[in-house]
Amino acid sequence: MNHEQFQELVNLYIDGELDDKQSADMFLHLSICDDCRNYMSSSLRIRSYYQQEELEEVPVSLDTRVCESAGIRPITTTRRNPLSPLWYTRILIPLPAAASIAFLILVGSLLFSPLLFEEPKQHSENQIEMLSKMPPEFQQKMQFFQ
Amino acid sequence: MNAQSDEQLVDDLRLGLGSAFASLYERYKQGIYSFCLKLSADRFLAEDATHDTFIKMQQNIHTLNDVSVFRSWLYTIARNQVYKLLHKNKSNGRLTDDLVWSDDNPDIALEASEEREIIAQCISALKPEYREVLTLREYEQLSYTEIANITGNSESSVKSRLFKARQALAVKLKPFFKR
Repeated sequence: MNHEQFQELVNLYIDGELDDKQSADMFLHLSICDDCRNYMSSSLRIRSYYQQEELEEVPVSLDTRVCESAGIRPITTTRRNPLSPLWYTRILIPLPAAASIAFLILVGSLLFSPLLFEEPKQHSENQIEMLSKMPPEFQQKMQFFQ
Repeated sequence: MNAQSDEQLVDDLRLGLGSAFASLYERYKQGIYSFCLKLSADRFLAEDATHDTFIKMQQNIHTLNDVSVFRSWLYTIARNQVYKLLHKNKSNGRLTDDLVWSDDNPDIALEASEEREIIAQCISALKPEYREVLTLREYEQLSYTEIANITGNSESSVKSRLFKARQALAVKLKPFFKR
């Protein structure tokens, strides 16, 4: 067999159409032939390229055209903005779990709420001392902000 | 809610239900558009071919005898539309089996720096008939038999075209990927 014929075997092997005996012959040849190995690796590279390819997004104008020509109502589809995928990500969780999470958030916010539990602010001695060292007009402004 | 099968939708479309058309269009539009784009390497042409494919689907749905081959049937229409438009635009030379590369094949691949870009450039420089079998095999993952049905060729012809396309690409890619 020549290189061309072995490469045809590689072609069939990649497509899963080669039997075990022929596969063994092919691999034996690959072990000694750079050209056929190059063909194999190139074909696998092409396969990998196609497998990573994603479906093309259909332009909205095409949707509209098709619907008009077909005489049906325009199809409304929500399109995801590629720049903000997280914002549009939807997570499905059971209702009890969602209720529990909402409850925990509510309780947590009450527990850590400064409005409920924190005592009115008292100026520390340091703050009073620092304030007294400031120019009078600045002291007035600071008191205003407090 | 369970999605309706192709068979059910085809039956509904035969009854003239617009919703069935809409469902089939939604289900296949991305696949058909991507296929047309890969085949033609032209966005405008791909849009036209996709449009014509679905309109023909609607008009000729009664001619589909075996509903189980609906998908192949739809891809066959898409393929024919792409070639029709390519022929109309005269952007495609006639294919002979000895000629794998398109006439307007630029050496643009030489300028590409990234692996995917290089591969994409080489594939887009292939003749549409070779891109077609590669796309149907590698992207749509169809069997030789299905590809033969879509392209109207024999299985051995499909194998031969795939082989030639891969071989041509291997030669073209060799300088970029030494190992």
